[in-house]
Amino acid sequence: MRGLSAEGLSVQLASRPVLRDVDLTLPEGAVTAIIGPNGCGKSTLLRSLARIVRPSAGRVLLDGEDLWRVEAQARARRIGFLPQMPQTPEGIRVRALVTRGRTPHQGRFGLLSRLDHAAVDQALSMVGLDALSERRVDRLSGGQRQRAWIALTLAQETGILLLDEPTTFLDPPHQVEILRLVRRLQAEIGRTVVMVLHDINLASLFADRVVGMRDGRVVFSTGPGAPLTARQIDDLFGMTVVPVEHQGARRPVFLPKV
Amino acid sequence: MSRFVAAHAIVGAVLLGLILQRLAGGSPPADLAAALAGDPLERVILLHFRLPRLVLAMAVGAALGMAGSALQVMLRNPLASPDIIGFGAGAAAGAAGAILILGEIGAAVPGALTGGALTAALVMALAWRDGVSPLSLVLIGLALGLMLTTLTDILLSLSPAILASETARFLTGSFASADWRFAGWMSLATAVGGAVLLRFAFRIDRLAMGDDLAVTLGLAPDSIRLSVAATAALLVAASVAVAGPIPFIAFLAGPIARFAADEPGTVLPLAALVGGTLGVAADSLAGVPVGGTRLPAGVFTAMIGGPAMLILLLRLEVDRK
Repeated sequence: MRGLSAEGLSVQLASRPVLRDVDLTLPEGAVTAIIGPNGCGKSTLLRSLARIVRPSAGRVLLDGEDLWRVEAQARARRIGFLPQMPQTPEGIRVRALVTRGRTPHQGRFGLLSRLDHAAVDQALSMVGLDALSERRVDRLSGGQRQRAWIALTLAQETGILLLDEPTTFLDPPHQVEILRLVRRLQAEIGRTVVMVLHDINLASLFADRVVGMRDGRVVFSTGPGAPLTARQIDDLFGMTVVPVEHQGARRPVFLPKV
Repeated sequence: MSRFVAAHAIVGAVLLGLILQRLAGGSPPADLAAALAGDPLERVILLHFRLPRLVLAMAVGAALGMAGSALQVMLRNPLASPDIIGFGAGAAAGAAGAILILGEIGAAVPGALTGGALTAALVMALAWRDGVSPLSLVLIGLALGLMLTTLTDILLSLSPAILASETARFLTGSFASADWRFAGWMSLATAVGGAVLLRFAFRIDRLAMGDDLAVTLGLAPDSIRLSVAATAALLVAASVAVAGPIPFIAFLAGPIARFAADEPGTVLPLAALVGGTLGVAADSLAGVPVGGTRLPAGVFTAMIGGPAMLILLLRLEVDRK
């Protein structure tokens, strides 16, 4: 079976159970958003799918094979992951940062082929940073910096892209800009994208599928023809909301009761 | 010419100038032309005194520069240089202990190597919690380094007076005891350790983006950290063995090289050049008589290093804002 899935996945962090028996199959070529209250395990789920966190029970499967048995370089060519707070090396330029996404395609000494340069160029233009490629990353605005990091994961050319809260710390226009970019990745190059989001409405508007988590378990997952409901949100956050149809997207958004 | 190439050229030119100054200048000035023409006395001065001392200063400087730069980038912390995270202090304590036990200054070599290796192993063992986190490595190294410096002081006060003064001189760091044996072994250590670090440089640079991203890119952070820290520790221990703890070169070479080349990575060859230049420059100053005596090279690197560290940290503060 192609793609990424979790099978009876449990994770303990500092001997506290964080994920409990999660089963999840990620549809290929679609955008999945994971939502849930703070501490529900959504980041841990994403980090397990990225092979950062080791399962205490169950498995993560990549193309049907246990992810922890896949050779590191082969895995790094299939799964890209952008952590919540990546560290910007002091003084690095945008292009140099993005080029580091080519690591799993390069040899040990880091010689770059024409293919590598082309992938970097394409990633830069995809996120609209071509003109800023020689700027220092630490001098960019928050939105530009996030785009630079996304470009790094794009340059990695993985079919699967995992983004941990890619819109946190950004102001609303930049949040939307990042999510539109994610949609384009899916539409134009057929990437499978899984992202953890804080904002219920942005998840509803921009994801093909919304997965709800609470207390380390997957509580629901929406799909084509089965959009997010007010009841699911109440269930997840214990908050009563009013659904409103978003005319342009033909999807529901949710407003709190006043 | 790119800034990267220009930086190498400029540092290389400075080093070359210092080399000529060291070989021909000094007191008494050596006559290079006469030595090359075959004057026996000048030849002896050049081949048996000036040259090995110069080679030793360059090899030690380069070793410290590379070790420091690699650790700073890998541990994402300008304070993570081996002279600050205890590797140098461990080698120094080992040397002081061996000198006291065996009663002669020559014991510094095995003492420094043993002390350096043990300290590095201890730092990594104490920092290990299901993997080595960069910050705990730095903090544990810092604490252990302070304890080891105290141990060195205790050992020093236990030593008989004459041995204690010799040990104290060793502990400020100096290239004065250079001979071809020291210069040869140190060059070999620098070449081998440098080659190992160079092989890791690509991966070290990527660890600077955080472990999560490094794993995502297919790297194994903990095993890289162990190999690089061990190599850096051995380079530092070797330089302490032959020249005593020369302070601040390991701390300064990386930031200077990164600034000069405008590159965020380890820039190992340039860090080696800068380290070598600092070593030779300090030794050059050590050749100048001050108040009827000559100060050891380590005094000069400390004199430059302290204020430079302050400037670097203040600049970091400004960047944060």
